[in-house]
Amino acid sequence: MSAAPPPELNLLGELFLAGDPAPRRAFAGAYRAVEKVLGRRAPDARLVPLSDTADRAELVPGLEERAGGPRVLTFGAPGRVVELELVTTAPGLLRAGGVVLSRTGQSLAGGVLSVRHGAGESHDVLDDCGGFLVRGIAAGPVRVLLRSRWGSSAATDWFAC
Amino acid sequence: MTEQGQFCGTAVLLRRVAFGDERAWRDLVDRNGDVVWGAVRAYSATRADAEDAWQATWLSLAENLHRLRDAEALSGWLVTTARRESLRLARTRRRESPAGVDGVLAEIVDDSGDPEGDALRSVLTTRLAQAFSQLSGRCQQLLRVMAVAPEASYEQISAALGMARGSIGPKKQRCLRALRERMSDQGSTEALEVTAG
Repeated sequence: MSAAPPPELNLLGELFLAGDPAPRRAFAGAYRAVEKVLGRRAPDARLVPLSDTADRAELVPGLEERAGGPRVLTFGAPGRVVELELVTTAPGLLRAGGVVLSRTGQSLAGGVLSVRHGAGESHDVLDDCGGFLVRGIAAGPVRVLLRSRWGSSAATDWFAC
Repeated sequence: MTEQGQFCGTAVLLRRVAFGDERAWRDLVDRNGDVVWGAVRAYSATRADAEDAWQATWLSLAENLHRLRDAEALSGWLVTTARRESLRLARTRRRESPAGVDGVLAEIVDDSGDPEGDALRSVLTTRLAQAFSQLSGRCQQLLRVMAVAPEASYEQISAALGMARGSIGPKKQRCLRALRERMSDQGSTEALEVTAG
């Protein structure tokens, strides 16, 4: 409809929007609608922790100086390895950069790596090489989720960072 | 609506939601809430029925996100689903009639700082509502959807309301003419043109 709407329709639109808007509780219900769907979609696989420099720093005295530097974690799932480097960007705030490697040679581009944390969820779409950079992660308990473009998913357990 | 949402296209929002971003979902609801509400009100006899149909519509979208290929078709899909859910509820509850505008007018308060203009507008709004409530149910449904979703194409409205595409324009004109005739009986059409101008 390229022509301007007739004045009656404009006034009717105003009438309905001003006098009969959707109730706030209806919006709250709509917001929750997606929780029901996303919440019941359990990950298809578990991302198992393979290594964590924080563990090594505790065990190897020579690595203690790395305690304030980036923390590197590696997780594995069938056909995939996630290497994750956590860097503190501000007090209580981190970013996670890294790469998802495909053991099968299948491209991971278009997949999404998400980090759930105390302040919500942050994510990045994987580039052609499987690289990602997720910002705005609240320090504390986090969980990493990997979703392929075809819908399959894998997730870590919650861990502290 | 969040600032981030304002700068994201519907396609981006849909993709983010598909990957589990609940904030993107809220933006999607905020952007399309008026259209969905307008559609469920057009096909529900009561506000309570409309709220149930509204909830079913959003749940249906959440469950069918992966099937929605064309972001531009979202508003049409929502109106179609809202109508279907409203009619399904109406069949279940054995009451089917479009929601009128009774009780709506009392909630509208104009305060533009122009008392004379506000008074004229108030009278017009009242008469428009009265004229609207005298239209056939089919006209009320069509005009209500077109009023709250002015950006929707005839094709989308056709699919949403289950009417032949070629009949939308003539039907709209007939309904508007009927509306004007009823307003004319009340001596309001000229004032409407002045207010719109």
